[in-house]
Parts: sequence; structure tokens; C-alpha cells
Amino acid sequence: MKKILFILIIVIFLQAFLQANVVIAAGTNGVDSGDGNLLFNKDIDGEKKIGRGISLALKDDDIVANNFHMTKVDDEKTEIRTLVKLNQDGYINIKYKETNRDYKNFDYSNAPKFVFDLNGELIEAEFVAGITRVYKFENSNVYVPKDGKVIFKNGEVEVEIPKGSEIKAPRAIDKDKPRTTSVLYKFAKGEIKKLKANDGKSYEFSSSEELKIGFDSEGVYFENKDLKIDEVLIKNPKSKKVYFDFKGEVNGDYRGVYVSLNKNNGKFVTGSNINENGPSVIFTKDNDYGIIIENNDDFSVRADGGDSSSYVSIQSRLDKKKSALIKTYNGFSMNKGKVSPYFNVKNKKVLIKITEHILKDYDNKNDGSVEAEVECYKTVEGVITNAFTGKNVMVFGDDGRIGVGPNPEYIKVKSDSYREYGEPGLYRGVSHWLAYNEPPTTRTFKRFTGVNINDKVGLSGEKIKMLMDVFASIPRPALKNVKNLNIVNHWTFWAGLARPGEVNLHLNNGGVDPDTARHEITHVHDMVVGWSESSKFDRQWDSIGGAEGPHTYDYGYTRHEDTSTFSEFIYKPLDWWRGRLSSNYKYNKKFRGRIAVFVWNNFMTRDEAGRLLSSVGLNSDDNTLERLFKEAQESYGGIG
Amino acid sequence: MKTKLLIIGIFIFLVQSISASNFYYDVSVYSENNLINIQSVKIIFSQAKIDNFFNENFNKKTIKIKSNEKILEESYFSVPNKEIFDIKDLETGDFIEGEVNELENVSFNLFVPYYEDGKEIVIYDENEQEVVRKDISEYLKLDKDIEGEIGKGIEAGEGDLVKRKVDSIKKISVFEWILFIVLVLLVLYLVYYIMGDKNLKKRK
Repeated sequence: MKKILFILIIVIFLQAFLQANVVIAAGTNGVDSGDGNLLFNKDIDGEKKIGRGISLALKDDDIVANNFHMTKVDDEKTEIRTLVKLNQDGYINIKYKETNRDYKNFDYSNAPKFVFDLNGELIEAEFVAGITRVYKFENSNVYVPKDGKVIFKNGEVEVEIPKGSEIKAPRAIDKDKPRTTSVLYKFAKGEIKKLKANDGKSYEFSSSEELKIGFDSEGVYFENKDLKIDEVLIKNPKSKKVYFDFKGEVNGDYRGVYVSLNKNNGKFVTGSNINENGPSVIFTKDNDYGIIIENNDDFSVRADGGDSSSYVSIQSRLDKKKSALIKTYNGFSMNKGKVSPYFNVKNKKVLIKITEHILKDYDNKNDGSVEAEVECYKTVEGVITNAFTGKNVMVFGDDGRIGVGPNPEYIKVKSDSYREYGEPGLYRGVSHWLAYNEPPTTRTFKRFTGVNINDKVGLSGEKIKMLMDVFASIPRPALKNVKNLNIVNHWTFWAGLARPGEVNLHLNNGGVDPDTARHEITHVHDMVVGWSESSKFDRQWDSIGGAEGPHTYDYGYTRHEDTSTFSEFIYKPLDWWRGRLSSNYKYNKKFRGRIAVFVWNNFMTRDEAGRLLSSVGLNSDDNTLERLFKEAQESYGGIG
Repeated sequence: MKTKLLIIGIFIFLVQSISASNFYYDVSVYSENNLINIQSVKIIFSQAKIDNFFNENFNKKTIKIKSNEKILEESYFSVPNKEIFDIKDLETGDFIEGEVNELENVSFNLFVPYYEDGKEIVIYDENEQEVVRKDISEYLKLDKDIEGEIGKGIEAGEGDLVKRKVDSIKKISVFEWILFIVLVLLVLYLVYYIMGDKNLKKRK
């Protein structure tokens, strides 16, 4: 037992002595290699085995070098490392760790350098590739074009790409292990690069500084202050890593901020999965994501960081003749000209900064607006909900208006009515239909309303838009009965003329205004649902004395004019309606009852009824309308 | 039970989708003193359903699409021979005078869903007496020429819409085929499901 203990002590002592001896020798006089040569601190010609010279953990032939100069260097931690510089035609072959790794084919004008640690791991390298080829670093195959300058340090590979050369994504050598090495390609300043997506589409990248595209374990990224990808400009003033891909998808897996583009399906996404804001993304003319940028337009978005991840996605719908559909999730900021919607993370509401660009990290002199439909979502106690009330969405008009409502086909902008026509109840609106956002013409009128327009006068765009707003205010079932709108100016005495399916408005006789248009549309609808004692509408209307007075004005006493004179007052000021609906007015119940019958028979929208009834503190819900109708029936009989 | 209801729901939806026709006979009609004459017929495509003007009180007529004596389609319409005009006081902006006119002569168009085996269009008066009959056998089957016909159906100046509409037709046909195949599969599954259910109940 004592013998064994003694032998063990001797072995340990011997091992310690030998190790110390080697280190001392390596630091001073060089090491005799496996083939008996002293290889350090001098130029070596020919191929030598240097494995044990670099690390005692290696076999001598684990690393072979040719035409080299080898020295030991200390680093900050006083660990001793081995620097191998290669002379002309020099190379290194590393044979350990299952794979052969060769480092050759260099441009030798600057001596290629390699640094190994005490374990024999290649930890640093610096060289210029003499041919285009793949070099292995850690678990990565790194593509380097000819004349590409490679610097490998601290687990990161940086490759300076010569002009006109391509790059390829690094691949894992051992597919079962993660590829942890970060690879950053740096392009010459001013160079424009095309990167190809899996679907074959090319994306053009450029930057005002040298373009930097990297690959790490998360994905592909850039870290430029600014980057242009086709017609999308990305501002990243702090040069953060911004991951990107060509999927056009929301990705909660990136541990950082990202952009995802897919021009094949016209979708763009930018997001932040950390508590930092993403880059500002500015859309320029002819982008692939359905953001229509005209002369003075400005549109940019940013996903804002917070406790929860956030994103802004943009889907082109130009093929459907609609503006882009934008979806936001949690924090976001937008510049839409000088009107800037954003998500207030404190009160979790979508707010709007008026007359101010919220995103200031780009030259945003323009203040024109773009059209878009925006759905905003937020996380509240882990549940994803609409950031607006109910099913409301936000719609941007090309003219700068913003509306929030349930139907993006048309949302009235309640702050913007046709007061200049004396019609505060007729609103301008916003719509996701491109036809409503384009400069108004008879063509856009037809596309938006579905009604054929025959304009023999040459109406101004302003008048056409006004008529579009009138038609948009009509309940859908009533609008379906109007097939044609004729604008005329020939010799005649009428201002408006209605036939089944047809409205005629006379410009010089005062026909092209909201009142007349509404009046004639009402006739057309009346011809379908009324003008017959047996119709449901006429029975309801007559049961409250609708056809009998008092009317909105005297013309209502003319045959078939009771309904149209009532409807042309829908847009009138609330003061006028308050006078008719207030309980002080003797016939208020008849006026109230008419509103109910109008809503039920699609002469008036419920929203319009709500406006009128609000003048006397009533609303337009089902129960109220039913009650008002019954009260009108009960009171009917006292007038005529 | 829920699954069965869901399948039946999808089944009904698909049947409705397939039966929803997008092609219409566009029948150009001239009425003179209530005598109706069909002037021309063409085929048009419309994504939206097209209704004809109809009011019980207005000269009720019936239009039928027939294949021999089999009625493929039947719908009511009214001759739109009424008009109402309004005169304004230009100073006050109020209407002051107006009148309803009954027109003796009127041209209008009727739209009736297209049938591949439709051979005749027949119009009847309110007493179910035949008024006019028009042979439409030239449109018996929708073939490539339909593109030309659709072109005719589109207003001048709307040329670019033609292509869009023809493209829509092509897309719709593929869509309808897919719907049809899904429908057949669903029917088979439904039968299998119901039979299986019955067998199960028998066993119980």
C-alpha cells in the first residue's frame, strides 16, 4: 500500500515538473517539436507538426503548419497563447475535433495571423483570402470571397467584402450543435447589395455608411445607422442590431428588434421583443407594401419596446383596390405627415399628436398623408384585445383625415362636416377604398359608390367628393336601388328628377347640393319600398300620420314629397331638430316616430338618427325607436 | 352533435356559394304604352347581386328563363315608367313645386341570372299572359367567346375593367371547382357520418 502511494506521489511530482519545464521553455527558448525541431521565434520553411508546441493537450500532428513563424504571446490574463504568422504559401491544417480545418489560399502581402490558446483552440485570426472559399471558425462555415479581409476575435468573425463580391449565410458545421459564432460582413461604403430571398425575390440593400450585415445565433441582422432595403428606409441611430428576414411575418423569437419583409405577398413587419424601441421605418415612393407615397407624403412607423413584445405589420391590398392594412400590437409610433398616432403605454390607449412628427430620427420635411386602415391591439392582463372600443378600427385618408369606427369602408369624420353648405350633419369621411382616396373623378365615384355616373357638366372634384359623401351616408339597402346618377345642365326647370333606379341633378337649377341629392335618392328608394298602401313602409308611415303634416316645410304637402322633404333635413343643424323633437313642440312625437320608421326602412342610418335624437337627449337604440314609434302612433289623430 | 351541425353548416354554405351565379342576362327592354319589346340580350358578369326595379303597385310583370318548357328562373319586375321632378326656389334653396309623370315610352334593362341551358326569355303581364318571347339559345353554353361578350357589356372608357372582370371569371371558375370538390367530399363524409351514427345507435 505504501509502495503504491509512493509511486503515485512520484508520478504527480514528475508531471508537475515536466509541465512547469515546458512552460518555462516555451516562454524562453522555444520548443522542440515532435519531429525534433525547435520551431518558435524563427521563420520555418516547409511543413511541420506543431500540435504539442501549441498545447500539451494536443498530439503533435493535430496541427500542421507550413512556412510560418511561431511565437508565444501573453494576453491580459497572462495566459500564454501561440501566435502563428504565415509566410508566402504558408498554411495551417488542424486535424483534431473530428473535422479537418485548413487555413490556406491567402493573399500573403499582409502576413496571415492565427492565435491559439493553451487548449489548442483557434481563438483569433486575421488574413485576406486569396481565393473565394469557405473557412471554418468554431461551429461555422464562413464564406469569404477573394480579397475578403477576415478578422476573427472573441467568437466573432468580421469580413470586409471587396467591391462587387457576394456574401452567403454561414452554416453550422455540426448541424446538431448551435452555430454560436457571429459573422459580420462589412461592405465598401456606397456599395449596393442585392440579397436573394428563398422565394427568388431580390432585395437591394444600401446605406450612407459601410453596409454591415451579420449572422448570429438569432438570425441575420444589420447594425447600420441607416439602411435602405428597396424603397423602405430604416433609421437605426444607435446602430443596434436589427434582425431582418424576408418572410413578412411577426416573429416573437428574435431576442431584439427586427424587420421582416416579403415583397412576394406585399407584407412588411417591424417588431420589438425587448424593452427597447425598434428602428424607424420610412416608406418611400413605389414601395412594395401598399403604402402609396405621393409628392409630399410622409409615412413612417416604429414598434416601441415595452414590457410586452410589440409589432407593426403592413399588408398591401392594392390588388383589392384597398389601402394598406396596418396592424399594431402594443407599443407603436407613426408619422403620418405631421399627425402622429401612437400607443401610450401608460394608459394603453391609441393617442394622436397633432402637428408634430413623433419620429424625429429622419429628415421629415414632408407633411402629406397616406391612406391606410389600422387595426390596433394590446395585451391587457395577458389577453389580446382591441385597443379601440368594440370592433373599431382607425382609417387614414389620403387628405390627412383620421376616422375611427366599425366599418373601414366608410367612417364619418365627425369633426369635419359640410357646414359651408349649411349641412353640419353631412360629414366628410375616410375609407379604405382607394377610389375614395384618389383625386375625385366620375370614375372614382363609380368605383366607390357602385353607381354609374353620367356627368354632362364636368363637375369639379370637390363637388364629386361631396356627392360621394352624400351617397356614402345613405343606408346600403337604399343605395342599392340607385343604379345611375346623371348630372345635367340642359334647358329644363327642375333641380332634381328621380326615376326608378335613377337620380338626375341639374347644376344650374341648384340640383348639385347635398339636400337635392338626398331628396332624389329618397324618391328612388321610396319608389321601391313605398308608393304602395300595402307596403310595410307605407303602413308604418301612415300609422303615425307621416304623410300628413306638419312637414319639415311646405313642399312636404305635395304628393310623394313627405318622405323626401323629411330626409333632406337629415343634414340640418341640430338646433332645427331640437325645435321639432323637444317636448315643447306640439308635434314632437310625430317627428320622433318618423325617425324610427325611417331607420327601419333604410331611409336613414341609425347613426344619423342618433345625431338627431341626441339634440333632445335621446338615443337611437332599438328600444328607444320602438317606444318613439308607439308614442307617435298613440298621439296620431290630432292633426291633419 | 356539434360536429354534425358544423358539417351541415359548411354544406349549406358551399351549396349557396356554388349556386350563387355571377353571370347575368342583360335584357334590354323597350316599353311603349305598356307594350313590351325585348330589343337585345347579352351576358354580363357582376360580382354583386343585381336586382330589378319592382314595386307591387307599379305595373307588375314576370320574366322567366326557360329551357323548352322547363322554368329555370322566374322573377318579378315593374316597368319603371314613373318619374318625379322637383323645382327649387333658387333664392331660398327650398323645393317649391314638383310633379309625378307617367312615361309612355321607356327603355330599361333587366338582369336575370344566366343558365347554361337557358333557351328562351319570356315576359308575362300581371295576369300571367305572355307578352313577349326571345330566343337566347345562342348563349346555351358559356365558352371562350364569353370574354368578347363581357367586353360588349362594359361601358366605353372602362376598357381596363374588362381584363379585371375576365380575370375574375377565370378565378371564380377555379374557385367554384374547388368548392365543388370540397362539397362532394363533405357530402360523402356527411353520409358516412350519419350512417355511422345510425349504426352506432342500432348497436346500442
